[in-house]
Amino acid sequence: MNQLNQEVNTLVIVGIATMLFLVISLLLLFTINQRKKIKYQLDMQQLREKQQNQLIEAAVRSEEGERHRIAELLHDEVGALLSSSRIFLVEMKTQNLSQTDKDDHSKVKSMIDQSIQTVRGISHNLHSTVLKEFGLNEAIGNFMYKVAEGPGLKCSIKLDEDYRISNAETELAAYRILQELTNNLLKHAHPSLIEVTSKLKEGELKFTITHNGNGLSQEQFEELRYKPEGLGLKNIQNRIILLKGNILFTKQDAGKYAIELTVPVNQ
Amino acid sequence: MQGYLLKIDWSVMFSWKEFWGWAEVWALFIPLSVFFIKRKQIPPLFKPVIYYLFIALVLTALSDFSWRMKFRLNLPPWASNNIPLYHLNFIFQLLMFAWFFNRLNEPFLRKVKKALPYVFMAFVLVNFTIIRPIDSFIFNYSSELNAAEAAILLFYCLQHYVYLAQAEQVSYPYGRAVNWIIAGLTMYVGVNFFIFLSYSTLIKFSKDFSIDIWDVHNYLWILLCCLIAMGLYESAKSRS
Repeated sequence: MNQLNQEVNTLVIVGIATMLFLVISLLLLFTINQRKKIKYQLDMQQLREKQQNQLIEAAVRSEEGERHRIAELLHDEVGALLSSSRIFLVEMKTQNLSQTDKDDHSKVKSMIDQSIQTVRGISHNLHSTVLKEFGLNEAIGNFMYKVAEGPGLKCSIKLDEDYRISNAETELAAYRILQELTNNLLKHAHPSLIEVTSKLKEGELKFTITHNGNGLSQEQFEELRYKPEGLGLKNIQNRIILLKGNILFTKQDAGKYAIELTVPVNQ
Repeated sequence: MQGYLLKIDWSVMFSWKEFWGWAEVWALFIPLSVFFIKRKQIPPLFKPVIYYLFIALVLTALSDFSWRMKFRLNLPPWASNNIPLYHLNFIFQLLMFAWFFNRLNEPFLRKVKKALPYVFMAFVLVNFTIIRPIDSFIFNYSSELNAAEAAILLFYCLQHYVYLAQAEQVSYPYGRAVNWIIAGLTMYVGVNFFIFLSYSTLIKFSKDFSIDIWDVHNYLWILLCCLIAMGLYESAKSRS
């Protein structure tokens, strides 16, 4: 009987040890398998993000190239043609013309002047020479000054003077985002007051655009940027991805809205 | 009541052996304390596990009380029998964990997983009416019931791992929390399956050894409780 007891006990102990070994092996195998799977998924995700960023970068570069080309054509070709036309018009003898013709001549001259200004404006808008020559703060100041020329609109800027120049592409992307955001505000929010401020802190340049128009909430922005017609917002989002930046839409007190754009910069 | 209290040797009550003897009860306070601290953040997915912890607390407390106090307090026979409480505990264990696995809604062997609790209940009915005498639910420990319960739960755990090995992405949130709980359950039922299966034979041939081997069950029970606590904590953390 004792012998039988011993055998049963040994059998149970061996059985328990075997089951324990099997269960631990299973859990270890599972853990290793899961880790491999997670690593593979992370690698794939990184690869996808890298490819997406490359595509966005290519799209943004090509857009910038096209802007540059159109700006040059407008400035050098159309601008030059208009300037030549103006010279011919100025040199025209008007003494023998009737009063009506003189008035028409003056009107045409004024229209050509306006066209030259408009073409120059569009050309500068498409390719900011101020940004290239004087940096981001000056370019934003110049752009906002032009925006403030609009009727019934007050603009104020307070930009961090500690910020110098980080990287031409970063500056261009940040400038384009602010330009697009401001244009969107003028088009959709109809504000009477726009304030632009910037603050450089811990390697990040934070822009805040505050306005009193009909602003967007973060949810609305997220929703709109996936709509096919929201090309401007998509461009903003693409440039933010490229900059590894962040954008936040918030509603403030007294009916004001704020858009916070954070861009990492290497000073 | 005073008479009962006087019968207890209190010096024995505060010994390590006594503390260990109550392991099945106090171990439950590990996950339950996490539940009480984080109850607002714990997602509803873990409801079956929480319910089971409370049911197990009541059943194991009564069961350990009747077992450990039967001689000290000279409890009447109806109060000193913990076998039906053990049977009930294992039945609830299967039903609650089966509910938990079904709530995960993993798209793998769905029909089988839904049917298994009914199959188990049918087995319980047949076991305690046809295979064994009707009163055996109360008076005789059923090794087969426990082994069947452990085997079914082991099947649930294994199918979970097979599903995870195949799936690109899990169909529910709180994956890490779920994995902690299922890892604990796999250890518990995997090893206990063998203990339960051989328990009737052990009681016949080697009663002392069968009592000693129950310590293994207690170790695994504590481990299960700790891993459930980890799972609940993780789920609360992921949710907040």
